[in-house]
Amino acid sequence: MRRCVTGLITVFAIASITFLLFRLLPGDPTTAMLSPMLPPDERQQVRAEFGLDRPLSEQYLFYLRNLLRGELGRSFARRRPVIEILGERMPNTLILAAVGFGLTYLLAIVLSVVMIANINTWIDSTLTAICLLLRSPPVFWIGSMLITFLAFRLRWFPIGNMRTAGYPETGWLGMYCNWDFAWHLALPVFAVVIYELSFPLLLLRNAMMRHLMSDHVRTARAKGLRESTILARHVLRNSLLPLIASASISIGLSLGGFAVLEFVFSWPGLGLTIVEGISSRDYPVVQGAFLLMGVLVVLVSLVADLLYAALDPRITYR
Amino acid sequence: MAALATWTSRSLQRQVRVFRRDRLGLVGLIGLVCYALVAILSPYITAYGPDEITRDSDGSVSVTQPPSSRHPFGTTNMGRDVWSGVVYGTRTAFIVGAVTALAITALGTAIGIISAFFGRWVDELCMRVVDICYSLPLEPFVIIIVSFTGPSIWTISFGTTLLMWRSSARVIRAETLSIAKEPFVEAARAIGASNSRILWAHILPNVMPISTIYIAIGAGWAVLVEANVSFLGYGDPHAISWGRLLNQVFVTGMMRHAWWWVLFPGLALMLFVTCIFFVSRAYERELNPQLKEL
Repeated sequence: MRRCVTGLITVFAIASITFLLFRLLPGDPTTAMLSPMLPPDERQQVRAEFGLDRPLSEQYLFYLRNLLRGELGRSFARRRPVIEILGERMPNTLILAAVGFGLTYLLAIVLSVVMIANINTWIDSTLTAICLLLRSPPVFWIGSMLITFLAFRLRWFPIGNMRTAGYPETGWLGMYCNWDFAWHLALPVFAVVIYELSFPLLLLRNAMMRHLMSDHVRTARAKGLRESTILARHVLRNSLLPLIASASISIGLSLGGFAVLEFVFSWPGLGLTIVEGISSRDYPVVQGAFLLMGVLVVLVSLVADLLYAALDPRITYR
Repeated sequence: MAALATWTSRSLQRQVRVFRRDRLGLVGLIGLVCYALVAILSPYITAYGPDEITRDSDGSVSVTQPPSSRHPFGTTNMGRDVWSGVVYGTRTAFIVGAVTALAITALGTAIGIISAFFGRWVDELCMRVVDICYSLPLEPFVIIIVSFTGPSIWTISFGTTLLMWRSSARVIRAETLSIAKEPFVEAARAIGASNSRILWAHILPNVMPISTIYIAIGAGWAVLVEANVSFLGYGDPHAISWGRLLNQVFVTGMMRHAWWWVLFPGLALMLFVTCIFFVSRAYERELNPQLKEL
């Protein structure tokens, strides 16, 4: 319960910071947004339309009231409510994130067991070395390499976007459950997996190492349990808890990186919306997308905390 | 002052010990020294300027050529030498990394210590702010800042610092809390040392080792963020950086042919950040031997 309240406070603070960020920085948003050719009286009209001529405190209250109603303003460039644009784009980010992180963590679990089963052999040390290297390149470079080599040179995958141009879009199922979509999803997901894998993998491996040397595993061995049972039930299971704790932080951190990832693959998600919005100076859209991303991060950490509490009987949240 | 002097000499001895023990850390350190040499010697190891339009012997511009003996990393669509770009990019990486890392660590250390030392509502407030900083998406935040304040390595560095002090603040706070419970702090308080005396003479020197780790980690992150932001097209137009080289290959659509233009700047970036992480890992293991296995 307390956790939910702090989550709400954080969301409120993010909303306020977003508001301040777009208004206190040098320059009136309209000077950046509108063409300098516009006559001054029309500029005033636009300012009035968006409530920019009123005092800051009044604007702030107005903004908060609109937020509570789910009203995020209208896009300058597309002449549509921001909420509609974000509603279209958010599922794309969520799908990419869910498939990407799902595969990453699945692979991390499998590989960590492989490493632990072959501990201190060349398999273990090679995988560790690869992990240490893969921790460093930025996600956009991994994406660019995949595009250059797998999409352009080998022509195995499309170079970007979410579906082939002109692909008939019919309904939700028709849009997301088909081979064309999966084929376009493959490379971005691949990039996420490569980029994200090393952190949970090394973490799991080290957690499992610690458990391997602990007393309860020695007891299990002494009882004559099979090695595979010990690994699965005593070592892996206990090591998953710290993984969940760190997953929330690492997923939250990498959501910001999705802006760059989506940009490389022209994947029409929230991140690309922010990047495009900034370059076309479509500031209500940027503000909405930025806010939504912040809320997503808070949600992820909240879910992880609750999951952690549910799995670990030692922790309770009041 | 005397405390600072002993701290410096002791920390120098520690540096030597850290890298004698950790093989990968030594590799990272040697790598960074090589990069530093490249940065310093840039004009002497490149045949062309990073912005120079190079020409073949017959006078035509060397447009998008694959690696050759004249251009070891190939050329761009404007006939620029990719090797020169990568070499000069090292300078930008060092500047951005060092400036941002110092700013992040100074801010994080200050807030961490203040938060732990004054406790109660100060602590609560600082930690809420840290939570908020953790929830704001980093790259979008920096490009918003940069788009308002104008693209330059300083504004990128500023935007990065505004958010990234969060992790060092959290760790330094925890460290300060545990140091403040140590008997020697209690003893100092018992003989009547003032708050500021305790802060400067007892707590600060003891959290310094952890701060140094965050300088290293922060430098790695700063270089990555600069690359990300530059790649998105908000980089400093006057600085040659690896991120900007990669932005140009993406924007011009040359990723189709010019694999060398994609590969080498990214490789330079990856190895640079790897070296930094190896060094920071060596420090971390020195301070926290439980991490030995990693």
